[in-house]
Amino acid sequence: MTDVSVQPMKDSVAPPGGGATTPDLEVQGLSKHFGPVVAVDSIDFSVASGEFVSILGPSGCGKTTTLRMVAGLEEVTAGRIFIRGSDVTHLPPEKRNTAMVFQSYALFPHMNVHDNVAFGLKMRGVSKAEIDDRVATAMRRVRLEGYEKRKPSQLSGGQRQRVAVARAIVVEPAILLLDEALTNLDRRLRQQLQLELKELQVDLGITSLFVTHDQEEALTMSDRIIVMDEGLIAQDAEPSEVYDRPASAFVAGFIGESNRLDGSVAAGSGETCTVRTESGLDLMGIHSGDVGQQCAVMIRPRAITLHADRPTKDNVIEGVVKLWAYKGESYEYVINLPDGGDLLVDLPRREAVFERGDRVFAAFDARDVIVVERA
Amino acid sequence: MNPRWSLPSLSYRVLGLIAVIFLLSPLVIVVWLSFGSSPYMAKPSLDFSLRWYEEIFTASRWTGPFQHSLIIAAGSSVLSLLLATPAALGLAKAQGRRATGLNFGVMVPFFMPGLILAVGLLMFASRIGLSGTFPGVMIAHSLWGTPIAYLAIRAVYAGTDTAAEEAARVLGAGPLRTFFLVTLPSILPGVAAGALFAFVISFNEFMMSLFLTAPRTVTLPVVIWTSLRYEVSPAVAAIASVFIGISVIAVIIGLRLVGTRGLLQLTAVDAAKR
Repeated sequence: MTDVSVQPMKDSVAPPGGGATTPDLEVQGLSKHFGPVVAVDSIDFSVASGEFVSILGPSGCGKTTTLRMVAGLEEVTAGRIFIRGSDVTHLPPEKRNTAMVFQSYALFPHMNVHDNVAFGLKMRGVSKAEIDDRVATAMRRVRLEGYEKRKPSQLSGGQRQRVAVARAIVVEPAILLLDEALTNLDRRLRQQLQLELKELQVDLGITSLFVTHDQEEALTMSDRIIVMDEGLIAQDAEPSEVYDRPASAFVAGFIGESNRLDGSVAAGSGETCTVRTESGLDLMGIHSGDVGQQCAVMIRPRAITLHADRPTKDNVIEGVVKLWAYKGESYEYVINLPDGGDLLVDLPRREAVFERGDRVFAAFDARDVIVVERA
Repeated sequence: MNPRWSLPSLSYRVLGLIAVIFLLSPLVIVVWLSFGSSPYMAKPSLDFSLRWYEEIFTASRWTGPFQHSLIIAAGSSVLSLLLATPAALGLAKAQGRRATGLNFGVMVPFFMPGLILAVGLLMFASRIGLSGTFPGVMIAHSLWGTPIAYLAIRAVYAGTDTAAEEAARVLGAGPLRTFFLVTLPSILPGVAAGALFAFVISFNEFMMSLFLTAPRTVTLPVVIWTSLRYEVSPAVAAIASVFIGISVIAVIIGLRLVGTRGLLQLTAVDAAKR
């Protein structure tokens, strides 16, 4: 029963010179086919030491499959996986020195909380005194001191997820894998645990790969977001860049609300360009694409202001207020455009002065117009 | 008026009650006879005695076969578990045509008539020298014990979270340790229920035992049958009562362990699959 060997850091594999540090996780040309279905299609990414990276995408985009391949729970069809520089592609899960937090908590129902948390340490042959010590520290970390003797069935959902987190961090894995770890919790608790988990991750400097379909969660927690769509990486960038400079219409549509107008580049000079939409509007945006290229224009509802008189701004569209809704912090307006389309506008509450049927001018800057290529 | 006492509802209740009486009355009469003192299987009387119980637990013509029955039931129960557990774990969460086929393969002996199995097994067992031996009968009985244990274990395993096993693997446990530390404890109720059901099936089984046992392995049901040909002793009623008692207790405990709904759901799922 000594099949557990923690993979040592193989510094010899690191590039010569030692200038560049080896990432904790590196994935090269990773693919997974389920019969004829390509779930993951030759993707590359890496996670640096101490980094918190999210894989974000709709269900079926291949994000969970990717995570499971990193954990060793799913066979790899093609490609390679390196953890701290050593090739683990064909190692069984128990020899990869990862830890995983599952959506369903996946606690051992017949063990009490202490034994659940201690499990990984026992498997690693850690002495009993050290186990008790480290379990106590982990329990403090997740604020569950005093719950050691309880069975998982006697805990609430949030407490169970905390136990699952403690069980994972206590083994000090090379990389912490989180599979929709907060999805089963209700909204308030989820937001609270997001912050707690992020704090924990920063304190411990624990390298993390987090899979979620919740864009808000990914934006809140990540140092970097990998957006996946149909087995491919749509964008791999910092949260603010993913939000402000989405690489494709898919990313823009998936992260945050956007108004989308299809068109083509009518004129371009330097950084700015003019896009002629299909309904005949000319919009100024930031883009360096070729004239005539098919594109989509994405405008965040927050970037738009409404005016009674025509303002001087980069882009102004005239329309009629179709309806508005009170959203607490802000008012949401739906503006009916001359071509029959709708424009969603989100205004801070003080600025809400329009009624249904009012003729308004919707204005926004060129830099708020996201121009992305369209297939 | 309380709807419980409306005419349709009431008539269902009366019909149900009659059905229960009809089903249970032979059992009641047998148990009643077993406590009589008359040396004949006569009409039930009101004199109470334990003499027939004393006889079946002391007379060697009963105690020998009783021991054989226990040995065979225990052995076939263990054998059934060894076959049913891997099958249940492998097939519980599998999908697709092959899984359905294998599932059918595990279940099909359960629906084979004992006589047919017995004739086939007799020819087979005598050829490889297992006829009249304990292992021969154990193997025969596990043909019925395995499917029932399989159903019980599968029902429990289907309700467990497989992610727990994956969590164990990721945390450093190999496949063997994962099985013994995580999987087995979580399916234990199913394993216990399966063992119990397989035990009772073997303990009660008559036809295969009749063909496959020799005097040194003969089981209680076979002895009852042979003794009934010469005399009708109330000792048989006492033995029958013991059988009824063991079966009832086993079924109650087994259903507690697996949950009646779990077992019913599973059989419904199985039926729908075919």
